[in-house]
Formats: sequence, C-alpha cells, structure tokens
Amino acid sequence: MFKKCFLLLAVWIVLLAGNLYSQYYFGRNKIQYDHFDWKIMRTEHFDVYFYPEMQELAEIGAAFAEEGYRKFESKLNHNIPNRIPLIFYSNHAHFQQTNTIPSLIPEGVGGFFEFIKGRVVIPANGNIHQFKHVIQHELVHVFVRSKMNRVLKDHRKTSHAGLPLWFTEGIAEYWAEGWDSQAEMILRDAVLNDHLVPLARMDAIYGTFLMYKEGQAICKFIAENFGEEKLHLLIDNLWKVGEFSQVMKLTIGLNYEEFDQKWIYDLKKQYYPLMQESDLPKMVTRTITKEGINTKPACYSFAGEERVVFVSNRVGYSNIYMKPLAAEERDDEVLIKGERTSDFESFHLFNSKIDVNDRGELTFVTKSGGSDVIYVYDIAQKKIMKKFQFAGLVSLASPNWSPDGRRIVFSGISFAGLSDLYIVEVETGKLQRLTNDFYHDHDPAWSPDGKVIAFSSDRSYFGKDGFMNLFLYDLGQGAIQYITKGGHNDYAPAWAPDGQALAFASDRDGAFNIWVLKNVQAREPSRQLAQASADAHNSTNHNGVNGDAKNGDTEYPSALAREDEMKKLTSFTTGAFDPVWLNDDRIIFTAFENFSFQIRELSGVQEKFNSFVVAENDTLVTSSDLWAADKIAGEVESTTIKYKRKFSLDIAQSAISQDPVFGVSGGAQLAISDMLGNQQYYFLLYNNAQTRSDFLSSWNFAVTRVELSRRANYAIGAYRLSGRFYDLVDSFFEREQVGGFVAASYPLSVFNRIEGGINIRKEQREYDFRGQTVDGIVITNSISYVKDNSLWGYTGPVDGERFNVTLGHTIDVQNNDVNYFTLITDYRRYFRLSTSMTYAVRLMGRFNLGREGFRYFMGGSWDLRLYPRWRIWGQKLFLVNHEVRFPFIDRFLLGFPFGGLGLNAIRGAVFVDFGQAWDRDYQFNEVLGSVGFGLRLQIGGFLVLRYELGRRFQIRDLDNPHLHFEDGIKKAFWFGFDF
Amino acid sequence: MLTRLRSRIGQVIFFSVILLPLLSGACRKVAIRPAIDENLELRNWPQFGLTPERTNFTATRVAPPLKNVWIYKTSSAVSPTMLAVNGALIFTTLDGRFEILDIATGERRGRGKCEGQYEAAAAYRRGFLFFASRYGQETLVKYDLLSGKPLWKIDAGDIASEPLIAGDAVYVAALYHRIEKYDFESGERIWSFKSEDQHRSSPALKDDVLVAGCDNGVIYALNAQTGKLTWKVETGASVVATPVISAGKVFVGSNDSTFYALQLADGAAAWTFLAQTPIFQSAASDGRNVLFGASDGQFYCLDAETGRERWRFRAGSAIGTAPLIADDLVYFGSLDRRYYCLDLESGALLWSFETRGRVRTAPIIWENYILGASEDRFVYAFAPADSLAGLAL
Repeated sequence: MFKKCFLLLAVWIVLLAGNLYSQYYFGRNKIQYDHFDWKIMRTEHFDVYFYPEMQELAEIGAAFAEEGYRKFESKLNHNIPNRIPLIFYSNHAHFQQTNTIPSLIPEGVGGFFEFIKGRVVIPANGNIHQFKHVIQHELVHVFVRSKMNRVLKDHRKTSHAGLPLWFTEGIAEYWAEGWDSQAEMILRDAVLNDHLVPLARMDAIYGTFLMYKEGQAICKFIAENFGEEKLHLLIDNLWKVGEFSQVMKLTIGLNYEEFDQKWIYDLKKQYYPLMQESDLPKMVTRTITKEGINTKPACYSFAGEERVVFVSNRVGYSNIYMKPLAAEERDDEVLIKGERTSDFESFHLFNSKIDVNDRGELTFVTKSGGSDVIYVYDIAQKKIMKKFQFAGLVSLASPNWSPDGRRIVFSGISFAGLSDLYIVEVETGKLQRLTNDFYHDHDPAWSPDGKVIAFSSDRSYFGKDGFMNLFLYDLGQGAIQYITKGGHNDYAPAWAPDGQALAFASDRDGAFNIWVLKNVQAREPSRQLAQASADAHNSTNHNGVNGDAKNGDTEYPSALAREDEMKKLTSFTTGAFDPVWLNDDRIIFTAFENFSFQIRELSGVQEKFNSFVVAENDTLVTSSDLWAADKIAGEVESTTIKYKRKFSLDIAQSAISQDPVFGVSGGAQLAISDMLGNQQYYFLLYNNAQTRSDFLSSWNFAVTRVELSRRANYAIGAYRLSGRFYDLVDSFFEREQVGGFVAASYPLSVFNRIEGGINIRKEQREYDFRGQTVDGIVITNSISYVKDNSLWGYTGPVDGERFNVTLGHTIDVQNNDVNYFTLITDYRRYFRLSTSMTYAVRLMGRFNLGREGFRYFMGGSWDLRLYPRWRIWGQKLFLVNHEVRFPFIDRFLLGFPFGGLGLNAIRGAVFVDFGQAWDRDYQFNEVLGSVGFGLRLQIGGFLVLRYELGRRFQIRDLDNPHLHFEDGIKKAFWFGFDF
Repeated sequence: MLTRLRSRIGQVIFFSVILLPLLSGACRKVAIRPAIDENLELRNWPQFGLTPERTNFTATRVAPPLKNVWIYKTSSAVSPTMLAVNGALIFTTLDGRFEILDIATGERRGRGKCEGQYEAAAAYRRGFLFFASRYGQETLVKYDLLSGKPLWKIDAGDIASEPLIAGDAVYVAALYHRIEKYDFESGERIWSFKSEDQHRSSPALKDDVLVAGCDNGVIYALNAQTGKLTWKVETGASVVATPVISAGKVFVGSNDSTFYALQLADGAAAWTFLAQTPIFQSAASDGRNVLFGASDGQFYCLDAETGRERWRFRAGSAIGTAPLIADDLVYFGSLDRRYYCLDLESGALLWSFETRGRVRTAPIIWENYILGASEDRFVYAFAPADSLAGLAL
C-alpha cells in the first residue's frame, strides 16, 4: 500500500510538471495578467508586501495592521512572536492573481489568512474603511489561532479539534467591525422569517455566510451579557474539554442548548416589536423576481412597455435579465450570459449597478481578462455596441448614462487602488477624471438636467469610520457639495424623472430603507467653500488632504436648503437597496428577505412620501469634512527593501512501512515555495527495495520546479523512478525510468488554455513472463487545448462545458521500438433542465496509434459504469455517457450525542453508458453498455461517495446489431465527483 | 571566588535543606524535607506576592548585571507563579505537573503529577504545599513534602487563582463564584462567600480584610473571620489581577484600563489612574511606590499616596507578569520574551534578558538569585555576574 502511494505521488509529480494546472485535467486558469514589482515594508510586527504603485495604500494598510495588532494584543493578552507576512493588492482583480493559494478566488472573498506560512493576503477595494476591516478581521484570525495553539500546546492537548468555525469567524467579525447594519439586517431577517439556526444545530449551515453572521451575533451577545473577557476565556478554557459546548458551559455557565434558550429569547424580544411599525417587504410591495439572488435593477420603456433589467445568479451563473413589468406570465429574458466566456467573466452582482437609457441602450460592467470593461448593449438589437477598457483602471462599477445618452459616468479603481469618478464619451472613448483622492466615490447618478452628478462617498468627516454619505458633483463649477452627512450609510442615489427628488438607500434608522430627498439641487456656494471642495477633489497628493483640511477648517458646502424635505419612504424590517424610479410614483428596488435578494416594486410613492413626517436634514456641524487615513511612516520607522525570493516549507512529510512480504520501505516528500507562491519546488525521495541487494538500485526521486509568476507558466524537472509493476497483458515486470521534462501552459483566458510538454527518459523493462529485457530512450511530446467553463454543484458540474483535446507523439530514439501518436478528445456538456436538474453528456475517445502504444483502461464508476474497474483495455477507446442529475434528498442531518453532522444534499442520477476499448489483441466486435440509477453523497467538500445499480448490456454483432442485457442487477460503491 | 560562592550557597543548600531523592511518577512518591531553621523560612518565597498582602516586595537586593546561571527545560509552560523554599525552586506546569529544582545548580530534585491536577498554582507553609487546580474533582490539595503524600484533597471548585495561606487558614477564590476559607490542618471549609461571577483574581489579606477581584468587575472585601462582605467596589470590566495591600490601600488594575487605589478600610477611592489598555497583571508596592504593567507593554510607577505617575517604561509587548520590587530595583517580564530590571527611582533600564518564549511567570527572588520561566518550557536562574566570577558555568 505504501509503495502504491509513493508511486502515485511520483506519477502525480511528473504529471504536475507535464501539465501544470492540468493536473486537474480540466479546470479554470489563474492568470498573471500583471507583473508586480514586489517590495517589502518592514514595520514593527509586519512584513508588508506591496508593489510600488500602491505604496501609499500599503502604508495606510500597515498602519491599520499595527493598530489592529495593538488592539488584539491587549484584548487577548497575547502576542505573535514572529513577523506576520501581510500581502497587499490594490484591488480585487489583482488579488485574484495571487499564487499564495492554488485555488481560484471567488469575487466574494475579501481576504484570507493562510495557515502554513502564516500569510495574510488582502486586497483593497477602494474603500479605506473596508480595507481596515478586512485587515483586522484576518488579524483576529492570526491572534486567535496563535492563542489557541499556545493554550493547547501548554496543556499538551495536541489532538484537540480546536475552535469551531462559527466562533473563529464570529469573533473575527465582531472584533474587527463590532456590529453593523448588514449584520443587523441578516439577524432581523433570520429571526422574523424564522430561519435562525440555533447554535446547537450550527452544523446545518456550516461554512455559510449566515453561519458567519450568527457567529458574530453570538459573540456580541456573549460580550454584552457575560463580558468581553469571556470571549478570550473561551479560548483559554479550550483545553479542558473536547466539546466546545462544554467549554461554553465552563466559561459562561451555559452549554449550547442553554445558550440557545437565552440568545433566541433575547433576539425575539429585540426584533418582534419591530413588526408593530415595520413591514416585511413581500407583504407591502409587488414581487418582480422570485428565484436566486437578483440585484441592481434598471428601468426603461420600450414601445410603451415598462421593463426592468437586472442581474441575477438564479441559475448559478450570473446573467443580465430583462423583464416586462406588465407581463408576469412571461419568462424573464436573458440579455447577457455571464461567467461562461472571457468577454463577460463577472457582473459584480453586489457591487455594480447597471443603467439603461431612453434609447434602450444598456450599460454595464463586467470583468474581462485582467480588468473590468464597460459595455454598451443595444437591447432591441441584442448587440454589443461599445466596449471601453481603460489603461490604469482595473476595477469599474456602476456606469450611469448622461441624460443625452452621450456620456457615461462611473466609478473606477486605479492600479494604485484609488476609487474615483470618471466620465467617458461614448462616441470617442475620451476619459475625464472627476475626482482624484483616497476617498471612495461610488454609485454616481447623473441628474436629468445634466448639471450635477449625485454620488455616494466616504469623503465626509464620518467617512473615517466607514460611513458613506451623499454628495453632488457640480459639473459647471467642478465643485462638490454634500447632500447628507452623518454616522450612517447612504447609498445608491437615484434621480426622479423630473429631477426634483432623489431616492437613496440609507441605514440611518438601523436598517436599510428607501429614503427620498425632495428639491435637492446644487446651490451657489460661497467662493471660499467652493474653492475648498474643488481643492479637495482636485488634490493630487493622494490622500485627499489639502492645506485647508490640515488646519481643520474646511467643510463641503451643503446642497440642501431649509425647504428641502427628507423622508423615509419604506419601513422594512430587513433591507432595501438600489432604488430606481420607474416613474414619479413608482420605484423599483432590491429587497433583502428570507436570506435572498429580490427585485420588488414600490408604488404610491407620492402618497407614501406625504404620509411620512419630515426627517431632520443632515446639518451636523463638524470641524472638518476632509480626513486622512494614518500612515505607518508617521509612527513606525519603516524600511522598504526590494522583494527577494526566500523559500520556506509548504509540506514536509515522511513515512515508513513494513510489510512481511515486501519488507521495509521509506521515503519523504517536500514542497517549498517563496512567500508569494510564484516559484515552487517539489521533491520526492523514497526507496522501494524488496531485498537488501535491491537497496541501492531502488531509490526513486523526483524534483520539479514550477514557475507561476508570469502569464505563461512553465515547469522543469527530473526524476528516477523504478519499481515492480503488473500489467494485465504482460504480467509482472521491473521498470526503471530516468528522465527529465519541460512543460508550459499558456492561459488564453480564465476558461481555456494551451499547454504542452516534452518528456525525455531512458527506460528499461524486464518482463518476468516473457523473460525479456527492453530498453530505449523515449521522447514524448504533447500539446493540448483545454476549455472549462463548467459550473459545479455539490457532486459535480451542473452547467457549462469542458473540453480537452491532446495530441502527442512518443518515440524511442534509440531503437525505434516505440513510435506512436496519441490523440485524446474529451468533451463534456451540461444542460440545465431546471434549476436543480441537469442532463450531462460525455464523449470521449483515446487513441494510441503506432508501435508499442500503451493501453488505456476503462470500467467502473468513473467511466463505463457497472463494469469491473479497469477491466476493459486497449490502445483505442471510446466512451459515451448520458446522465440526468437531480436532487434526491435536499439535506441530511445526523445527530449524535457528541454533536451533529450536517451532510450536503444527496443527489440522484439515471444514466446510460456506451463504450469499448480495442487494439490488435482485443478486437472491436461489440459495444458495451450499462443503464442504471445512482446516488451521490458529498462529504466535507472534497469527497463524493457513489452508489450505482443497474444492468449491463452489449450491442453485439455490429454488422447485424442486436441488444443483449446481462442477467441480474449489478451494484457498485465507489467514490469520485461526477464527470 | 569560587570557594566563596560555594560557601554562600553551601550554607543554604547543604546545611539547611535536605532534599531526599525523589521518585518520578505519582505525586505521593515525591518527598522533600522542610527546613528546620525558621530563619531560613523567612527568606523563602512561599506564595504569590511573597506575603498575604501580595506586595511582591522584598528588601533583598540582587543587582544587575545578571548572568544566566542555568536553564532547565520542563515538560510544559510554567504557571504564572513559582515558589522558592529552602534552596529549592518549586513550580507547577500547565500540563499538571510540579517540579522541584535545586536553585544553585538547576538540577531536578523531584517531580510529580497528581491525578486531576492541571494548571495548578501552589503555596507553601511549614513543609506543606497547597495546590489549587483549575479543573478537576479534587481541586485543593494539601501535600506533605516530607512524606510525599497528599494529606487531604477536597473539591473546592475549579480554581484559576493562587491560594493564600495566612495564619491557620487557606483562602481561595474559585471559578464557581465563591471565595472560601479552609482550615489549614483539616481542610474543613470554615466559610464560603458567594459572589456573582468567576474569580481569576487571587485573594490578598491584611489583618482581617480579605480582598479579591471578580470577573464581573467587582472588588470584594470580606471579613476574614466571618466571610461577611465588608465592602465592594464596582469597576468597568473584569478584575483578573490580584489586589495588592500596602500603606492602608488596596491597589488593583481592571480590564477597564483603570488602576484603582482604594482605602482598605471602606473601599473609598483614594485615586485612580487611567492606562490605555486592560490591566491583567498584579501590581507591586513598597509602600511608597506602586508599579504595574498593562497589556500595551507600558509599565508604570505611580506614587502610592497620590497616584501621580512617576515614570513609565515601554516594553516590546504586553507586560506578562507581576513586578518584583527588590529593594531599589524592579523586575518584571513581558510577552516580548524578556525579563527586565529597572531602577525603581528613575525607571531607567538596568538589565534585560531575552528568554526563549513569552514571559508569563512572575520573577521571584531567593538569596542571590532571580528566578523565572518562559512560555516555551524553560526555567531560568540569574545571579549577579560578579558573584559568579571564576565559577565554571
């Protein structure tokens, strides 16, 4: 068994080099679009990795990190003895290129703490406060993990399971952010819509966002009711017992069940009274969408028909849909399919609004390659009219048409990480920058008269604490005036068609609701204040601070007048976002409810506005509006040095085994990489001697170097592999291979790549059965094209397609005994029959043509089902699988006295397979097939158990084909994801 | 020089202390003979804070520069307090063992592990050790060093603080919301006071007033004879530090970042001092000064009478121990792995030593030695460099 494992490892390493990313055979690509000139800034506790373009942002981030370090050092009475590697990216698109972890990074990941090297990897997203939040969230993980390890080590509890995920994420969120309106919204929704999961059953939502937020709420409850210190006492007491429920009992006197009673009762007491004066969105507004997550509505009229366009992930992929409001029975029309091609990689479901002008031209942002692009799409013609991609602007968001349809205003994040407003001329593509500072400017909305742009920004005094308020950019004067100001968030301003009112989402009363401000317009500011605001937005010192601000006497002028009226339009218990005016009396918006986002319509706006009392306008007096984030240079001496690759261990393990027949075997494997993961080395060394005399000749080794720092990745390596093998045809034989290889992979996009390699080896085989020895110098060349845009469910792909075509040639240049060509084609397509049902088909052919081509094997749960595993072989092979995948049991929860075990859905499938393998020795005289039913159960995210039963059949006598079913039901239990 | 040093150490080691060969294994097999000379016992460090008032003050002066005499590696991290008894260093480890080392040589004289004992703190008196255990069924144990056997074991609830020995009683503040007094001889509970939260703060005693902090932020003062509440003072957050009683005042820091000086008689605030971060560690006072460290690495010296800051010193990380005032010097440890020695008058750094791990064990003094431990299982002995001249180390 041990030898098999090592042989598999050896093969894996060679394959790794040969195929780089295609060690997964398929798979999407992580592409290095940009070359970063990495530098390291050393602060008191951190090594900050950054690139020169984002130096100021890195200095700000370093200050946040040191601030967080001091905070958590005090809270936990603990420190981190080693310097913490902190790797910054200026935006999410750059972050997605990181090689610090091998997997692709989804859009929702805001940063991570990687345990092996202790790296904290974080992107900025234009919002300084959010940057701070993520840094400190990850830093809590660093401290909590260090403290936990220390406690367990001190008490010699090395086998302890550690802290539960709900706690580690909950405490990270609570200590980094405290409590915010987003957490409030999710908890309100969970309580009022009765889907709050008690702590005792937290396994049921393991790893979900709801679990994170419930964890945050639980930590808050403990801190407020039992004392903040109890949170770190929970870590201190971890060693005492294995179950965290009992740790809670020892620490706060309540186990999970007892805690649930108090906590849920407290939540009900807190939230149930809200129903007295607030509403669930579904009860008082019209439903536009029902399935999936639907966000960012935009409205327009076409031939008198009112339509709403929005982004939705209802099928797993994100698409842009259009729905006529009058025709509820009609299916929503898909305008743009996203996440399948490099043109539309991601619509930024939660981050970027879309807009449609009077001519029915849709403008939206999508990721395409290494940065975002803005598209103009003619809905009537179903055609992309324009595409804008700007050098130096990496992330774009929320494009908004000018009233004349000739310009688009949007927010963009530069290579340096600055988030500002820009205007692009649609006809010429000419770009104009409106703001230039460290403030986060977002959600611009062009007024109907074309004179001003409303936007959301953290540029008020309250922005330092992360609050976003509303501002007006006066295009005539180039000056900024404030609309709202205060310790609350105001997002997504939208002008009424007559330009006399501005709707926006605000959490100023605790939950996000729609508010309306009437009569807002740019006022004539005093000369001094206009100049101050102009200075602010024209500042080029990259922190938004000008001389006036430093003196603390600068304010933005107000765009409000005494007669302006600000009123709350909705009073929802949960949340409302992204309002857009359908007409003067109807607003379309996104509502959060039942842990989902749906598009809804609010009518009777004027009446509702008139019935609410006027809220006080934001006239808070502050000493200064302009603020600047602290930088590390002012507090800690920093030393910046150029990044040099320094390798450290990723994996090291050794094993030894003794077998009464095969004797003692031993070996080790090692992987090292640099801090950024761009260069990796893999080593394997083992000995599989069966007798003492074999010892010297039985050393196996492999070394591989993988270079990932550029778009084109390559690997080189060398190996010596020897051992005793069994072949179904040739019986036992000894084989020794000594060789080297070069491989390269070039990703064309996230979804497809070209890869190839050359492998040269000296090979010798001694066949027991034949009593023959053959040797030679064998060269294998191969080139492949791989495509994969599949969408995965619990047990395998559910949508999209995967394709691999490989051409290869293998030749023995010494004796010419071996000389064959290889052709592999593998096409898999997944058709959605409904949201939860998929029809999957695989067409595969593998052919070795020539002398001594190796044989392919088939049979078993991974290919031709219900046949014995790998019992069908030949140099040529074809396989066709058809399968309908459907849900069988949605959720499976096992309860044990020591805790629960939540299993993901059990999926069902019916299948029909056809296939055969053949060559000179095994003639192709019938087609093998099987038909049956299967169940698949995913465990832990990485293992799928498979059970299949059905009947085998053959199509015999191909000249006069007839179907023959074998007797009896065949069954198979195996593992592996669906094809 | 070597002869002179041997002579000084020898007087202590060879004539006063007889350490019987100790067998490893269960605690009942560990035996140590107590001192016969009462005067020697006066030089001992028998419990946390040295005296029942927990002043952490001694007139013995061990002046820097200090040399590391020996390092001993134990089984796990050492508890926050250690004892020095008749030339032997006694400490417990967080994996539930206790060990006895020869202070002069660092050689192990004995070790043991009592069933159910974990993270035990200990106190010593007249040949007996008192172990308090943080978790288990028998959490307070009187252990006879001479016979190597426990004399009594009682369930006093989980105890995360240091037992206090004064007169013929043992006082403990327990996690199960109790402050209790036990008879030294029999282990019989004399009284029990029910508080409102867990106690991690150890009790301190002066005359008949017993003071202890509580996780609910309250500082309780009880009548030590009756166990009745004398007064209580609420702070803004947990009080996990042990109070120090000196010059008629109770000095204690709170996790609300405030250091309190309360009148011992009635709990009235004499003064308060606002630090920037929570104060987890106990203080030390010589009657004129009061010193303490905070979790931001600041170490403060205040005027005990007025609370005026006399000086402050910034360590590299959170202060991890209670200070030790040794005449005109002050020693303490930090999570930055260092032990520090400052001049009491000026706060000037006189000496520091980098250990192999975070320092969470309070330094103690015995004769010419400063003794401490770091988190990574190492125990250290330091002595003045001049006293070691010529001694092969």
